[in-house]
Amino acid sequence: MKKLLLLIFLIATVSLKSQQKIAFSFGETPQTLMLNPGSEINYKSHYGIPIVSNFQLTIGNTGFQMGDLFSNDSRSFNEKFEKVLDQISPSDYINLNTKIDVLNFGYRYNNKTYISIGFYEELDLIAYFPKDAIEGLYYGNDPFFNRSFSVSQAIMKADLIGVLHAGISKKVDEKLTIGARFKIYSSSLNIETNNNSGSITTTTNNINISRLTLQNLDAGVRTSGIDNIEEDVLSNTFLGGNLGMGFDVGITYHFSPQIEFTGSILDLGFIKHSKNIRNFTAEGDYVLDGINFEYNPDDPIDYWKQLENDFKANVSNEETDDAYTSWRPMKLNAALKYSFGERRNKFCYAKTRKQYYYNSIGFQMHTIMRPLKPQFSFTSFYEKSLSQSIHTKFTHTINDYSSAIFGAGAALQLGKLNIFGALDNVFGVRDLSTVNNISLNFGFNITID
Amino acid sequence: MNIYIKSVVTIFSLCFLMSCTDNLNFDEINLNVDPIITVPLIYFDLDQDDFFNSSSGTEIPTITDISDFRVFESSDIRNETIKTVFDFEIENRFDRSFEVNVVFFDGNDNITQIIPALNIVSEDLDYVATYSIEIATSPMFLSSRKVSVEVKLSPSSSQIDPNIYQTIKFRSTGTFYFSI
Repeated sequence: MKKLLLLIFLIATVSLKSQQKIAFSFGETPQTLMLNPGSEINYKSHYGIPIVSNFQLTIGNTGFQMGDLFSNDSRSFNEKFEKVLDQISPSDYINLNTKIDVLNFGYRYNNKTYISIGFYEELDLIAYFPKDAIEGLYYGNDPFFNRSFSVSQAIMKADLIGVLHAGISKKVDEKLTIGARFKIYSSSLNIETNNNSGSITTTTNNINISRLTLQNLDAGVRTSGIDNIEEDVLSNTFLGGNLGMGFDVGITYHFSPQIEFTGSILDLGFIKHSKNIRNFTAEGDYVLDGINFEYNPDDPIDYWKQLENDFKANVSNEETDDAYTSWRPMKLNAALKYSFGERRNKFCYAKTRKQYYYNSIGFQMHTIMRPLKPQFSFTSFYEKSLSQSIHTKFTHTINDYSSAIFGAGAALQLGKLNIFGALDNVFGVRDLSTVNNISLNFGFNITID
Repeated sequence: MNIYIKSVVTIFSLCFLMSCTDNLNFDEINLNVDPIITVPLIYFDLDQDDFFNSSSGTEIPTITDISDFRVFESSDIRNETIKTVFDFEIENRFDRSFEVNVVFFDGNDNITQIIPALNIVSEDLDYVATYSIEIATSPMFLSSRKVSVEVKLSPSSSQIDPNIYQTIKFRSTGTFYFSI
């Protein structure tokens, strides 16, 4: 249990979460296309450098900062732990997301159509802090008579998947570009628990000095892939696991040459888990007052056995291998950008030209559907093109983690090599003790005009 | 162009190079988890009929009941328990005194722990007692697999009258201190 408590908090402080705020609607990189299939693409083809064509990594935890738990001061680790435990709430969560493009390439079918295909691996974990359970494990029930410990706070979802995808970006006219991407998911590992209910309460009463009450328990954990986690966990992501399908859709629309709207819906899909399933459920009510001695020598009772049988009769506990469906965490992205300043022409594919501005400002909104509630993120940004080949973007973001997250990104075109890099929470990197989240995103691609 | 590239590369490099963990300490992660768990144990209500043999018309001076006590069957619990405290509350509405003996036994019926006798005087409605067992000094207690509660009617010149309703109520909890 000690290890479990430590593990929960250690994961919380080093976990990685993907935001991709900076990459959205930025430049003309293959990364942008993955966040909005309706992006305007102005090159003839692109070839991602395997494994490093798009790598994303982010740290995220809303409950506390690294320094709260690991500050170098005279307080004991227990003192720090207890303070953190006191300040977190059941709606706080840790979030781990990392995505690696294994293959990614695209090709212009005609002047208006761009097709892209690829395969990426994604690890995604979100776990809300079950504060009652952690306090119960840490302190026990003795200090908390009459307090109801809720089972419903146990909410988590973890996925390790491979995604094979094919997308199309279609330029309808000078103002409008639309796109869509079809995805086949292959889940290697899924663990999820949500919509649990029930409580455990210790009270005083007239029958015995104390009473334990388990009320309205209805809890379950659904899993697939946990039995072969060591040998098949990666190979199953290559279409060997539980399969599912989904879509991305996106749009770019120019209200005027200077005002651009981009929006996308990603991972509108599901995975059907039917292989290697292990589901666990517990349901029922139980009141424990202790053992009632009856002092009947003519009919001796096996009280302990009676207690066990009574518990089993009232609280069912079973394991099944029933198939289930897991929905992907859908993402909504939208950005409104106003461009201004010096205007330049750019040579594009097929000897066409595109006009662009050296400066832009705008707002973005990102939403991820999560088990307890959607995660919202609001970003204002400034883009500055230093040349036709160097584009930079600076962001300020408000989200669950913080209201002061500053990010920076750059896209460089070195000949045919496109390099993209972004770092969110640049000040957090400078001082890890005060950080709730950090995200990193980079990619290397060959683009051909 | 080189200046631009250098500028951008410098910005990113600085972000990483300036990463500071000096004010963090990962060497002293030593979490002591010491939960205290309270659970209800044995309770009973006895009246005058429990101490009177209607066939022979005589008192029954001692009655005993016994139950399995499997709390310490788990090696994890055995290894992590450092102390157990038993609390007793007794309400005696008899006009007689009682002695209550709580004894623990291992799987072979060898005594592992005797809680000192609880002596309840007549008509004591608020008898309370607490008994603490430190595992360091009483490691045998962890071998306990059964518990018996003996209720002894103290000798008296007057005999139990089956027609006069009298009760004795016994309540108990166990509080287990763990160090994990």
